[in-house]
Amino acid sequence: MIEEMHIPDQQLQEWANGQTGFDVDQKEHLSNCEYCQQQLAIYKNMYSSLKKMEQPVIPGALLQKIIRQLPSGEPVKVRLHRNDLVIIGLMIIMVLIPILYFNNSIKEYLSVARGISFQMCIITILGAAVFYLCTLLIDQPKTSAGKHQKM
Amino acid sequence: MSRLQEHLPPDHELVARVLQGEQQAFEIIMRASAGLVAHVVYRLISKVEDREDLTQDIYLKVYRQLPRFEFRSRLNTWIGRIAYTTCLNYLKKKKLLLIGAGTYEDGNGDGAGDDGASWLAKNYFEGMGNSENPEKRLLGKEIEFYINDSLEQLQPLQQLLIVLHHQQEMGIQEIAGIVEMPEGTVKSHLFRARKSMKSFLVKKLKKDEL
Repeated sequence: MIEEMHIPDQQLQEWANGQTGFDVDQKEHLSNCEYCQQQLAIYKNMYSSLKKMEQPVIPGALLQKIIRQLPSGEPVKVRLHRNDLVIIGLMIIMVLIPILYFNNSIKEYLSVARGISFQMCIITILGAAVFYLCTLLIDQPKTSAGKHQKM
Repeated sequence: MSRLQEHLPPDHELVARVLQGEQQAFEIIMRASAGLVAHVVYRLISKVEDREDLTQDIYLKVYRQLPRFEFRSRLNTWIGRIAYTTCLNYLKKKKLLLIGAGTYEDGNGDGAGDDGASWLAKNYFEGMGNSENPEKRLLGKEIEFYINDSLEQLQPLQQLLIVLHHQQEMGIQEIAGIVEMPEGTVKSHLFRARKSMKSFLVKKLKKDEL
């Protein structure tokens, strides 16, 4: 059966790349099948040609230009990312809401002593938090491509 | 891992030195990752002037984000991922659409073609064989002559995967980390890309014979 079917392309590719081996039947097929031998040789040749191809390089002058743009001698400061702020905001909400909801003394203080509806208070906090998180998510950092001077 | 990277100080040492303000350490990081970044930018961005802007943008981002690097991957992989996402964001911002075989076009139909001569000199190989069968001829030198064309007819993402795997000699796992795709998807793209390159080469030589 194996003599009638050629070796799948995927296996030829992997074999040429030195990733996997053929089983005994496939090796036998390969030794007798000129088509499969050619396909394997094409892939091997393709891989070696790819390695010989000239590769792109970043000009040294450009690397130097980038170095000149860095703040010299100053330690790099850790800056909070927008996603960090979103996570911190969500964590605060997750902690605050149960505390507010289950703490009867706060509930009483808000609703009785101050005359503020507890439900309204929760809705207001949630609304403000959601609005703030939405503004953070919508205002994603944009690529600053093109802002640098061209060489 | 390239020979240059073998002689580099470990990632954590380089990062610590940069964070203390040592520019020379950042230069070492840049030179070690320049090949990878050049491949990513060259394959995804067709305009030379944009490539230079983006390369600056990528390294300035790397510098700013270095305090956030958590050593979950190799530093080079992390830089490669920043390069890849920066290029994708740029393409999105410019509304450049991928319209098939390795070309981009913007909304006005104005092709962004450029041979990028300052980045990559064209490679010419000598010697054309005269074997009777095109597929047999591919066993010889001719494949080298057409290899660049066969690569460039692929979609930019597939081109990138091919050069990262076959020129930069990166493993599937590392490539998957850069392009943020499952390893199976990377393997599948590579398989289709290599098959397409082989078909292109065979067709090209058959056509030349006519």
